[in-house]
Amino acid sequence: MLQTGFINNAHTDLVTCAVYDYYGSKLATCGLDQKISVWLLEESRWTLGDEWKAHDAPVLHLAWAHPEFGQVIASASVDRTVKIWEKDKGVWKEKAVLLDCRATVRQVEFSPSVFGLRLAVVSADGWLRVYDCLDQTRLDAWALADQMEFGNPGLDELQQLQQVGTTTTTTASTSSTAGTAAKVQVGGSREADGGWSLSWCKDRYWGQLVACVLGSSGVVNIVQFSPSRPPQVVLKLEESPGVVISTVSWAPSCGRSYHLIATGGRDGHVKIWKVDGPMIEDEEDEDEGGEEKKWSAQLVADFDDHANVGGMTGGVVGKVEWNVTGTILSSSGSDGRVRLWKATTTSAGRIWRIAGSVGVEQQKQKEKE
Amino acid sequence: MAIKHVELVPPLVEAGKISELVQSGRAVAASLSPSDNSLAVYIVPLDVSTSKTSTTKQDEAVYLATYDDVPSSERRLFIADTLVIFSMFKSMLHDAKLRDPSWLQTRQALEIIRKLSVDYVNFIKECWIHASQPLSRPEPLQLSSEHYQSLYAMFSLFVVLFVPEPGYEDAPVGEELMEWLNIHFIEPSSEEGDQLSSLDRPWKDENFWPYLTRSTLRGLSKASLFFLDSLLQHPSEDLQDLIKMLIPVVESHPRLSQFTTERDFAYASRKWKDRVKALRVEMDRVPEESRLDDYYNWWDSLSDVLGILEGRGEVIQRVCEELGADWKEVCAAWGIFVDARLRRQDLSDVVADVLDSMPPDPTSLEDMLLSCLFSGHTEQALKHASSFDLWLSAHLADIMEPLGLLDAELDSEPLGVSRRDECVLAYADYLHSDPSLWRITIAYLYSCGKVGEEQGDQVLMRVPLQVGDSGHSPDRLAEIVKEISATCWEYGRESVRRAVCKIASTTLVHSQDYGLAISYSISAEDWTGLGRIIDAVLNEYIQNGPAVFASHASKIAPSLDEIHSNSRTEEIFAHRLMFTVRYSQIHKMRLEKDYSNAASDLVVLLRDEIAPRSWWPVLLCDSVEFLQYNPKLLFSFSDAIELLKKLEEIFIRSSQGSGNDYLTVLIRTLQGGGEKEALERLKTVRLAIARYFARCTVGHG
Repeated sequence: MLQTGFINNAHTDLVTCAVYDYYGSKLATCGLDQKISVWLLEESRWTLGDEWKAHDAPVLHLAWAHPEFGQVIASASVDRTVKIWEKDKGVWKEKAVLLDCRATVRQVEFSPSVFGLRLAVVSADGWLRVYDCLDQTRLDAWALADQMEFGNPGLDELQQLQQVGTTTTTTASTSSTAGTAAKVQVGGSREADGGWSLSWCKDRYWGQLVACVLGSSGVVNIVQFSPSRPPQVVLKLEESPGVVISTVSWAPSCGRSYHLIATGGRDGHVKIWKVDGPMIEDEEDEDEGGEEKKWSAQLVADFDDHANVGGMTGGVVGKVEWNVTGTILSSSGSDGRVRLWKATTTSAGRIWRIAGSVGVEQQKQKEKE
Repeated sequence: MAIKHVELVPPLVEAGKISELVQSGRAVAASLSPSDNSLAVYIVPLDVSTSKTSTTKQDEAVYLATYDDVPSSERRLFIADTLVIFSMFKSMLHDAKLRDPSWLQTRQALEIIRKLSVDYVNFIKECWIHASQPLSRPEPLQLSSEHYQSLYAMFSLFVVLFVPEPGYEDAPVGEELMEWLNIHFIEPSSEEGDQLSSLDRPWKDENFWPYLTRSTLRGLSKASLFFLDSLLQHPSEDLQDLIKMLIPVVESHPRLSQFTTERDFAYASRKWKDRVKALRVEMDRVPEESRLDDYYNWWDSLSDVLGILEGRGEVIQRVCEELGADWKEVCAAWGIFVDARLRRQDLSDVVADVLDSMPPDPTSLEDMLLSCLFSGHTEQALKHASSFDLWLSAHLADIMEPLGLLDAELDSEPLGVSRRDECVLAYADYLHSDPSLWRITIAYLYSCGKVGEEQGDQVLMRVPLQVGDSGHSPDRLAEIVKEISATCWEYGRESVRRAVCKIASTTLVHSQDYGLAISYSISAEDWTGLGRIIDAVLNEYIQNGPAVFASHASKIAPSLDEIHSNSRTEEIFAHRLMFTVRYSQIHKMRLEKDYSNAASDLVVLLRDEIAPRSWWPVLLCDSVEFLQYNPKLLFSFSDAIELLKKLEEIFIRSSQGSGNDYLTVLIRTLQGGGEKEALERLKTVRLAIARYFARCTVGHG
């Protein structure tokens, strides 16, 4: 591992998310300072391209759309809104504000481009929502195509949420709840105690799938969306009782016949699940009387390295993420370490090992020498 | 090769105080770059749900780090040049698939494999020599000359043991092993030899006997004979007598290369061994008291030399230990002196015995790998090779697979990755650390079955189409797309080509390069994308007026030919494109004052219903200018009737509640107002047509 750079003044408050664009030549960051910055890689140096105040509360998450839709970013905020931004004639413009969430919006992610310009959103109100862009040229009209509730939001107002099919044509107005950090009771626990994360399946052959974690149930729900039926949970990856999953990432399958889904938990564990399921064609075969193939999962790796913080237990995993070819998994957490995991084949099968790690501690004198 | 852990600077906490991070409510997070697997590391709030924007500003940083050591200049050269050999090898294997499955075992195939393997060896040797030269370099060597030297030794041994010259697979291997040892692990040193040869009585030097013993052990008969000759001056007559007998024995040591058949070699070796045995009898006759001179027990030392020649394994092993030589030397000497007919397939038994008492150096990956190759443990050798240099494991595995040296499928999954593919994929992952090496990266990935193909697609699709953010040059973009398309063609990756064309098209639409954008959309057969571009071009008319719209006419015109030449074009999009192109040309003609052609084309668009209904009102409004053109009548009577028919249809259908089908575009061009205003506007068209009929009637113009 080598350090290659350092952006000193990325934000004026803690950074909450940094996400590379499709090519890795732009890096969008957001922070508690309510801003979004876009950094450009030019001649091996990162320079600030654009910076703007995006929300009236901390911005928690960002996602880039596929470049076939242009330069488009979605941002999620504590102000309960999702905003769609587009770089248009050299300027980042707010194209839409999605106002359906009744609590902090925790994560956003665009679907694989083959499914069009779709955006999945996880909010602390316990709902997974999926939006479709109705006009890809203008990006100003988004329809709430699907939504699904997980856990028990516990708030009366949340129970009144509309069901699937609501169309929201939005304006550029900002939420009236700006600046308030929503603390929603979910399943009897605070937002802080839950995990809020989602990750799309990157391949088309298994249909439109999202792995998501909402609340403190310790379950990763794998939800399948279909134009012809309501969304349905096809598989649950269940943790040991009491363990909260904080992050989930679906690996690009890249030619493999199975999927790998990584999770990180508040118990400091990084886990890799091997998931198998029917492809869409298989399902069609089933309809014609073929053999039914079920979704199934198997735990193939479990590491507790992040649990140890300076000799004490209690570390949590904050984020797991796969690289674009699904060969490297990164995990990071409160132990101040980023770890990279790679698989190797041994006589005992494929096993995952730490390939490298990054820390933020001062080097020990001996190491320096 | 990669350093496993790095602490980022400036540090956030003092050494050993990482718990302070969590106590201050912070944690670390990271994102992986799609271009090179590098990391952006940043500090996040431990619990965002309770975090609020601070009132005080404090700079927060993002750190960048990479997993792999990005190849520098000499390494890039090595990587690029060895790709040439790899590609030839791949092409040979590709051809093999078209032939009989057993073709790979034929002499012809093995000769090609051997030649390409030797090419690798020669190339590594050149790199080693280059890296060893004390040149002034633009940047320091990333990998030392010792690294290339080790690669050279390892790859050479692999070729000696596993890729022998076809027809010689079953020949004794000792001579080749000793040659390999003498090239890669030179002993005794020529400096020692020079120093000893400058002495009048070299046997008085403490290095004399070790030197003579080692040169004998290494089969270096020329050096041995030189110093044996010097012993003819030794004061001991017994020694002199023995040396006189020994010299011709050493001179006549049968070496495999001197014989045309192994039978002759074996016969000569047997006879020679008898002569050595006879010499042993002579040696034993030397009385004990004569075996010492003033300085040394020459008899013991000479006995060791003779013991080597006799092929006494225990003597060779002991001598090697005393000389500080390792297991490799014992094994090579075994094949020369102990068992001159030692076969490759029998080598592992000998090696196993030797390694029992002289294990390889566990701290040296090179030694461990060499011992695995000697022992025939190719899988294990690959493991050490990948720890040493992913280049080595990839290229060894690439050759090992067709030679049947690897288990075909280690991964139990369907579509599992073979051991060879695993090594090549790991190397490609390393190459991916430098995005500019994408051509090489995909060459390796696309040789790895379905998994490699899909990974290659991800790399290829992410070759940036533009540099930086400050706009782009359409020429540069076209150049990149052309290169990617050629690459896709070469590897049969049509889906990638289409995906890249789609992205290129979107990029160009944003910079109003509609001509090229349409061209890429047609090429990608992205009809919905094409529809969006057509909308964007037509939107130019609505937003910016006819002059801007007309300026795109010449650029989008060639796309009509393209769309007609594409047999899979969806009719509706071809139709819409035709309208857009022809309508823009009408405005171009109008601006160039070519009113006659503009007017007649306008009527054609309406009469043939090339124009969509929503554009009829706009075209009719455009016609007013032509209807009012004074110098002459631009429309025939029937043309004017056609205009009126369309106009009437709009009025009638609007009155029946279908105004939306006709009036939306005109309403947008009015920049305010609705259906009522649009219809009002169309009334001016009706008036113009009425006047036109009047002009026709009086034959004006």
